[in-house]
Amino acid sequence: MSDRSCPNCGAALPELLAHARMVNCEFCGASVVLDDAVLRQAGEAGEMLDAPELIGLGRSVQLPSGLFRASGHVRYDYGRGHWDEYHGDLDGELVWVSVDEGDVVLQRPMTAPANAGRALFRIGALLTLIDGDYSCTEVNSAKATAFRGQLPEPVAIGDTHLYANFTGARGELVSGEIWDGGVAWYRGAWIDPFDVRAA
Amino acid sequence: MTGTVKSIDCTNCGAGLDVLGGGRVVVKVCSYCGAALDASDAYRVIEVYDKVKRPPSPFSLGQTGTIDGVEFTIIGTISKSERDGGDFWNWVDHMLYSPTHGYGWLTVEDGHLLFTRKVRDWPLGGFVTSHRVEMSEVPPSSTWRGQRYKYFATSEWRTDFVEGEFNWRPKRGARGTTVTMMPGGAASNMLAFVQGPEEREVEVTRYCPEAAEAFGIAPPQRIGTHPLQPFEAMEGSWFYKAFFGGMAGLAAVLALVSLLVQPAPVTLYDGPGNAVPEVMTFDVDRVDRPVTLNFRHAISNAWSELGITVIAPDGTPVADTFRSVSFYSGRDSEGTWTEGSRSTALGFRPPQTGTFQVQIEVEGESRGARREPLRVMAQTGRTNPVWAALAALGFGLAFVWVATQRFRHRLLRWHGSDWSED
Amino acid sequence: MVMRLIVVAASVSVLAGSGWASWSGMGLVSRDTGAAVAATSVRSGSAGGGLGRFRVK
Repeated sequence: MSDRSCPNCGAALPELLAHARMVNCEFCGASVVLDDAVLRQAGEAGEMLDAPELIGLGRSVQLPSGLFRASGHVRYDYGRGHWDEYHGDLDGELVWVSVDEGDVVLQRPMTAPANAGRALFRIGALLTLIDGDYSCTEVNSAKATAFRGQLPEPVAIGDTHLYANFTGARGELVSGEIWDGGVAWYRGAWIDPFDVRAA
Repeated sequence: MTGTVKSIDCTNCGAGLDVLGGGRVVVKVCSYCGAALDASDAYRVIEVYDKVKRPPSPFSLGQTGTIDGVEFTIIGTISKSERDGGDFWNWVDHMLYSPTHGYGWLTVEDGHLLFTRKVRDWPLGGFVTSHRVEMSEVPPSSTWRGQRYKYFATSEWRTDFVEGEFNWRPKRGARGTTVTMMPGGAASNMLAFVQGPEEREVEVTRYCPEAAEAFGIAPPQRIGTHPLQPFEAMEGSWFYKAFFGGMAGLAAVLALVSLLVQPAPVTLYDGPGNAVPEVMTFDVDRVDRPVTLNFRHAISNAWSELGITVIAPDGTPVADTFRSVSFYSGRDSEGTWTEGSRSTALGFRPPQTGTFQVQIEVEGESRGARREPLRVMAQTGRTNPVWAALAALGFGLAFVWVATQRFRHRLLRWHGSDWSED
Repeated sequence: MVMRLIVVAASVSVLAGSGWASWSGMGLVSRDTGAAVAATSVRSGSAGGGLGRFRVK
C-alpha cells in the first residue's frame, strides 16, 4: 500500500506505478486522476459486469511476443456488446492489448497519419502509410463504461469515442480513435487467441 | 451484453429466438420464417429467404462443446455446394462462438468433422487468388508460421442455406472462391484463402473428430478419405509386415534351391541338322521329377519340323510326336523385327529309371533349313522354380501393400487435389 | 486375432503348395507325351498329334 489515499473516501490507494495517471478506488468506486502529483477525483470508475475474460487484471499471460501483465483495464461498450482493453507490461514495454470477442490485438502507439481526419472514418476509406495502403474495414462508436486498475492517461468514463479499424494488403492492422479532446492511432499486431496462455 | 443468453422475437414472424452469439453478430436468420434480421439495427428485416429444407447435420443450433479447451456454442448453420462439370459436392458449416476466443466454424463434410478459424497473420506471400493459381506453372505454395503449404484445390462454392447468427452477412445464392493449401508430408491443418462477395479471409482448418463427443452427438459415418484425415495403421501392421516379409524370403529361398538342385543339362547332339545320329541316349535316375528335352535349330527365315521319339528303358515309347520351329526376321520402317523362335521343348514323366533313347528326324523344312545347326539337350530331375517364385512375388506384394499403407493413405488424401499441368 | 490366423493358415498353404509344385516340376510335362499317348500316335503322313503347326502335305 502506498501513502496516497483516495480523495473521495480516504481509503488507502494501491502503490502507484510510474506511468499511472488514473486509478480507481476499490472502496468507493471513484475515478482518481493524478494531476502534477495531486490526486483528484474525476467521476466514477463505472460498473464492470462479470464476463468471461481471456486476459485479466493482475494475472500474467504468455503471448508469443512475451509475458504480459495487465495493470489497467478499460471496458468499451458499443451497445450489442463490449470489448476490453488492457494496459500493462510486455517484457518491459508498456502496451495496450485489445481483446474483442477472440480478436486479440497488441497495440503500439503510432504518430497520427498526415491528413488523418474524420473523413477516414468510413468503411472503404483508403489510408496510405509508408508501408502500404490500408482500407477501412470497420467503424463504430463505443463508450468507455468502466475501468479498473491503473491507466497511463485519464479516460473519461461515459464519453463516446469513434473508432476505425484499417486492414492492410497482408492483413496488417491499424486503428484510429477520435474523442472529445483527443486523437490516437495505433499499429496492431494480431495475436491468435489460442496463443494466449496462462503464465 | 456478451456472455448472457438473451431472447428476441422475430420481427417478421414473431417467433421467440434465442440470441446465442456475441456483440459482433450482425445478422440473425430466423429458423422459422427464414427472415434475415439486422442485429445492428433492432433486428430489422433485411430480406426473407423462402422455405428451404434444412441440410442434414448431426449438429443443431444452441449445442455447446469444448474444443482445444475452449467452450463453443453453435450459433449458425450454412450449407454450401460446388458443382464442377458432372461432379457435385456439398457440406455444412456451423458458426461457432466463444466469448473469450471469438468465432469459428465446425464443418461436416461427408461425415468428416473439421474445426476452422480465421487468422489475421497472413503468409508472407499474401493472399492467394484463384487467378494466381491459374497463372502458375507449378503448384503454388505458401509459407505460414514456419511451415510450407502446397496448393491443394480451388473451390467455387455457392451458399444454399442460411440459418442462425453470423458475424458477417451471408446471403443465400452468394458465391465465392476458396483456394486451399496443405503441407506435403504429414498435415495437421490446411490453409484456406476465402474470397467471398465482400471480403477476403485466411482461415486455418484442422481435422476434429473429437467434436462429436464434445458436442454430444454420435460420430457420423465417414465417406472416403478427407485430405486432413490422419493416418491410422491397420491393426497388426507390424505382424503382417514381418510375416509376409518372412514368407516372401522363404518362398524365394525355395525357388532358388529348387533351381539349383537340378542336375545340369546334358548336350546329346550339337551339329548340322542333317547329320543327327539315329539314336541318342541319356540316363534318368529318378521318376518323381520330369525330364525335358530342349531343341534349338538355328534356322533363318525358314521353318522346320522335328519328329521326336522317346523310348523308355523297357522299350515302350514315351513320346512319339513332333515339334515345329520357325524363325523369320527382317527390317521395316520401325526397325528390325523377328517372328517365331528357334527353340522348342518337350517334357515327359519318366516311367522308370534307366537309359532312355531319343530319335530325332527333321521331317519337314523350308529351303534347306535341315542342314542348319541343331542342338539337342536333355535335363533330368527337373524342378519348376516358377511356382515358388510366384509365391515369393505374391508374398512380396502383400508385404509392399502393408508397408506402403502410410504412403497410399497420403495418395488418397491428395486425391482431391485439382492441380493439372494446364 | 482370427484374421491373423486365417492369413497365416492360407499363406502357409500357398507356400507349401507352391513349394511342392516347384519341387516336383509341375507344369513341365508336355501334353503329347506319356505311354498311352505315344501308343496311339499316328505320326508319319497325316495330320494330328503334337503341338506343332498343323501339317498339310
